[in-house]
Amino acid sequence: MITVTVKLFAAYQEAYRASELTLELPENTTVQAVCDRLITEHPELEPWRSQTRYGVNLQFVDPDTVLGPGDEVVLIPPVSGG
Amino acid sequence: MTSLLSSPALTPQHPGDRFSITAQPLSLEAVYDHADDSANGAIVVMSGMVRNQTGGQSVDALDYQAYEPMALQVFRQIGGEIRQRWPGVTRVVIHHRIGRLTVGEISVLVAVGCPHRGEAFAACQYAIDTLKHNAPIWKKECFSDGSHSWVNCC
Repeated sequence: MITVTVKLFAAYQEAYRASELTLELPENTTVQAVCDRLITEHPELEPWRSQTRYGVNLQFVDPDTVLGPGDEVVLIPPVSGG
Repeated sequence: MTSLLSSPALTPQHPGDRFSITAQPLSLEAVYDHADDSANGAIVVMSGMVRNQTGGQSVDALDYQAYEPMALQVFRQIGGEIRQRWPGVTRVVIHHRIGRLTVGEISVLVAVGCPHRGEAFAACQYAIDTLKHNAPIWKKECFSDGSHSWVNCC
């Protein structure tokens, strides 16, 4: 098992009422699988599934990126800065 | 664990650039001063502020939040990309505000200094367009009727 931190913003943060989670995951878990798990726990997040991008350690990554121990994951629903 | 901020994967910041994310009111003068350089023939400043309506629905305020370390990383990447496309650019400055902003308050300031105005306009537009598309910053519209929603576009 590995431990990762998941940063939550916007709709994800409201669903969990938390700004970050610490998750224990099996080895070879992808970043997309983390998002799927969160949406399973909070089905109200389903509308965001197809629009969410992923970041690991402050960089955008592909959904199939495999996580490593200590990674900082962020789920990025549609951004609206400016 | 190594700090993410010391990771070699992070984009270095050009010495002429200034980026910040703050809960304090933004200063047009500070941004302009940071963009000032004796090699400039032009500085273009873009100021974004809270509008009083969206699609005809009256807005009271916007609530901004940011994943700050990654947003700053995106700002540094924007600075690097601008220098590749417009090598004459002297300064790139981006200040973004977070927290609750009411109608009329400035949410973002972008300033680009260049020897010539054409590059300054183009690079400034590139910076704000790329920021809106990629920076992990979110705003929630707080409507006058008490409802709210996360903005779903850039």
